[in-house]
Amino acid sequence: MASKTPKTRQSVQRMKTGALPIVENAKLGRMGESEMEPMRIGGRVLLMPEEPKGDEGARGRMAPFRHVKNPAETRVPKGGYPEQQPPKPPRRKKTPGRAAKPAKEGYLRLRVLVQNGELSVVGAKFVEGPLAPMETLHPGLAYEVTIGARRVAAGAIPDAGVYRSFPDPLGRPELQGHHITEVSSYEIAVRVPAQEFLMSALPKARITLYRWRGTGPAAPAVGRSLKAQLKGRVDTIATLNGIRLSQLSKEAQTELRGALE
Amino acid sequence: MPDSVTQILTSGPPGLKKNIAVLGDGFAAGDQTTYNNKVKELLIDGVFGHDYFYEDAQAFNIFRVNLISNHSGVSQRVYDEHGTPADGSDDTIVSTTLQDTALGYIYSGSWAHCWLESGANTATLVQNALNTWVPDYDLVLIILNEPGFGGCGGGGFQIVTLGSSWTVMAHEFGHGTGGLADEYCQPGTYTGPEPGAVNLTKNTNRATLKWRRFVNPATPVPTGVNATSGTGICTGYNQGTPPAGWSNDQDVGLFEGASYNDSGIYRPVVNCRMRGNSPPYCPVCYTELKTLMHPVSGHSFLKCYAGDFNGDGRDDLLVHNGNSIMLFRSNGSQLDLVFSAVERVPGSWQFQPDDRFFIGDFNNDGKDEVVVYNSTNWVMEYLGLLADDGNNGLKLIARYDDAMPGWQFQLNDQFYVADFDGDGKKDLYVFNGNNWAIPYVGMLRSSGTGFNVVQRYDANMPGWQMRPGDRHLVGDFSGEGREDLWVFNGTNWSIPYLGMLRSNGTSLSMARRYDNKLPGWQMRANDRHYVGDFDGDGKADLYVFNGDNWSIAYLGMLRSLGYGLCLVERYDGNVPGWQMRRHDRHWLADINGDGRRDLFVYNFQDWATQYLGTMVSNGSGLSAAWKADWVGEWNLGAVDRFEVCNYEGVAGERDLFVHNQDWFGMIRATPALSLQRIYYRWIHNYRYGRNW
Repeated sequence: MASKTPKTRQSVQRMKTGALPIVENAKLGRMGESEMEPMRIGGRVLLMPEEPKGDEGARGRMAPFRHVKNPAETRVPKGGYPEQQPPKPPRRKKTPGRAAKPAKEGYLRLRVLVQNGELSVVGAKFVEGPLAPMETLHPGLAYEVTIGARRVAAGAIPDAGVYRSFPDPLGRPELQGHHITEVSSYEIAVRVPAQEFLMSALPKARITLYRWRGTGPAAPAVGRSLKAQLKGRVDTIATLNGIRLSQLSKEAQTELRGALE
Repeated sequence: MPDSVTQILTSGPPGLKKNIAVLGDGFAAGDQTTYNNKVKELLIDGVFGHDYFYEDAQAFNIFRVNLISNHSGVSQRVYDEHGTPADGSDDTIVSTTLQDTALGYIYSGSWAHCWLESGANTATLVQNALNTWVPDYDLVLIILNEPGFGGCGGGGFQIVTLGSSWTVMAHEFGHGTGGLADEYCQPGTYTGPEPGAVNLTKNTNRATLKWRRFVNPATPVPTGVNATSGTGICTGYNQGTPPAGWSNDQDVGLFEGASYNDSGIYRPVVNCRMRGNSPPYCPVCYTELKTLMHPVSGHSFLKCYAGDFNGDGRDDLLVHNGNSIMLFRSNGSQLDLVFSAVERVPGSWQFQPDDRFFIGDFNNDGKDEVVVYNSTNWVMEYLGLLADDGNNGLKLIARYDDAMPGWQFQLNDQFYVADFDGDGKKDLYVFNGNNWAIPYVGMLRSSGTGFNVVQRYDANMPGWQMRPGDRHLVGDFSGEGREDLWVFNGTNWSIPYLGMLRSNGTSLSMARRYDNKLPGWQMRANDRHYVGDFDGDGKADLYVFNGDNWSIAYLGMLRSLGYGLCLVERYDGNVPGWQMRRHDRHWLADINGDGRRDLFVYNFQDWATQYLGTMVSNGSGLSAAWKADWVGEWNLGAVDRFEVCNYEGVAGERDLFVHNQDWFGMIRATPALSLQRIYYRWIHNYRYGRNW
């Protein structure tokens, strides 16, 4: 546990046994010194009646209560309880004239092929909803996306580039463990917040694949490049400098255009 | 039957969670039930029904995609392995029988060929299915309709047959989720650099060993040495005799043999899931997974509730996080996970961040149940009653949507757990002072399986005109075995009022109303009340504290006479052993187990450091003791929250759960305030060491 409590103290005093009572506010009185004047509410003294009158209103009330002598047992409806109902999304106000479509919160999931030390985008998809900021890195592969000098996304890539056969269930000695096949090309998933990854930013976007030779999880700081932070223990595996739509396959172009729209 | 997708584990938005896509190949329309059952067996009941993945299920979404194949069963390929099943390079294809299936996988049953292989269009078909049906994915599980054994993993994919077991899949998820290395052994000596994987090392120096924090000083390092390298064995504990109670998967040492070598490289335990598949993950692998997935799970210790959910006399812990709950069982000195539910419990109650929980024995079975109320996250208000499911968990047994006969739920309904009819089953008082034109109080009697409104007060209770600022407490001041209702209002009238309303089980009557003054006590707006039997006479008494409205702080002890109150003691400024201050906060407890209600007291605002104290009642007075700044290893702070409980299962209620975002502690107050257990970010009882 943290060895020091954050300092938010207003006092330097410490509790002492047998000390005199602490005066919190000398302007206030002590109990029993004087009678309290009734507080005026709306200019008048308001006291609770001994026997309050019954409510005679009708608006803003629950439906009248009826006593039931033998109330029915609560029964689960046949087929179970229905799904709880989420609230309806707020209605959008119609704005006169042509208004810009509000941007949906979301991120792009890029499929990036790693082959012969090169990276290429082979697919893309827009995914609605928030994206977790920065993952904890662990030893092995990691990617980083920068626009200019600014890092806009990073993530860990566990378990890339190999195929393993499950161990033999019969326990034949030579088939214990995995049969491992290293593959020369494989895909990785790169996630980038949509607001950071506009069509105009594509030429400046840089995707880098690293191998980090750490020995335990790490949480690199936001913004600064991984290489700068994990000095000396990071090897660059491959880099994609700028994404040019025209150089992508037709399918990838279509997917990326669709995702960016 | 068209293709479709069903989300079978819903933890949160895809961008905030790890997403698992499950696809099937070779399942025709008539095989879909088989496929669905297999997904449930392998993934939900298997991988996510056990140890680590059960615990962190909230870090994952699972999308089950039902793809309809034209043929039942997958394509087959037969190899002639020429007597060398471990070497695929000399294999020749004997025959290939193609089936028209959704993904075109071909099963071979050959280990050296990963048991199966892709067809000509498999990659495209898989990609299309994922693009179409799953918003995002980190891990992909593909199940083949093939009874033979086999499975091929890597790159976040696992392709398995119906003959595969969940334990192998859990091992594979260790690769795909945590980047964990294999701990299998084969003949060979490791000669490379220090491996990056957290569960492998070539270092035999205890002082610098990467997992040294989990190694008991009494355990020799190395613990298992391979004297006959080249045999392919994974060593066991062979450097001395393992101590009694040694666990091959949870006690950590340094064992030679791992990562397809039998010497020169070491693993943390004799047999982790990354070696033997079936055992749970060892402390090193478990901690790696937990560390990586903790932010994804969204777990914290902010919302904790104490309750004896199995009726063993010890209070357990319920932790609520977003759309999940977890139950941890107390054995008297530590907690262990027994139940984890994401999104809903059978019944069904769907958890949401604003769920409010009320714990009590609502059916008099000796076990605590849970009332859960949500008035903000759905289109209407919901109230549910969760009870023991007979398997250490909870299930919904009653739910009220929007209303129950006699009570319409509203946003600011406030509930108070009290057995107002004395039948041993806790009931509910409910108050709403804000959402209607008039305030309401309802008495919701528990039948054990649900609630009925037996009485409702509209605007007034006998002798009491209700106002929005009414504050309620419960306690049996009459000693009749029924918990009565106390009500205070210090803000809506020109003078403060305190009412004591006696319950006869179906209605309330005013026993005594105090206007402006209690015996020996001038009421003020900021009086804070604590109802508890401080003299052990069976009648609930009243502690009242005021640190705001006077020049010094006051604490009063007013004994219940059954029909009213009389002052027993008033402390002006100091309780013996405690200097009272403005921001003192109190909790009722029975610290010495004598049947008299005492107080825990905490102040983090008014002194140079934080103070946690006990105020023990002898029936007519209090004596206090305290700890400053630290309780054992617990560094008291402003963010700390406390739950009074009895996790020890002894007489009284002398324990505290203390918690904040990342830390959870178990404090006992007798013989003196001391920390018994501390957990960081997750609750796990390591056999040696800890995760910070």
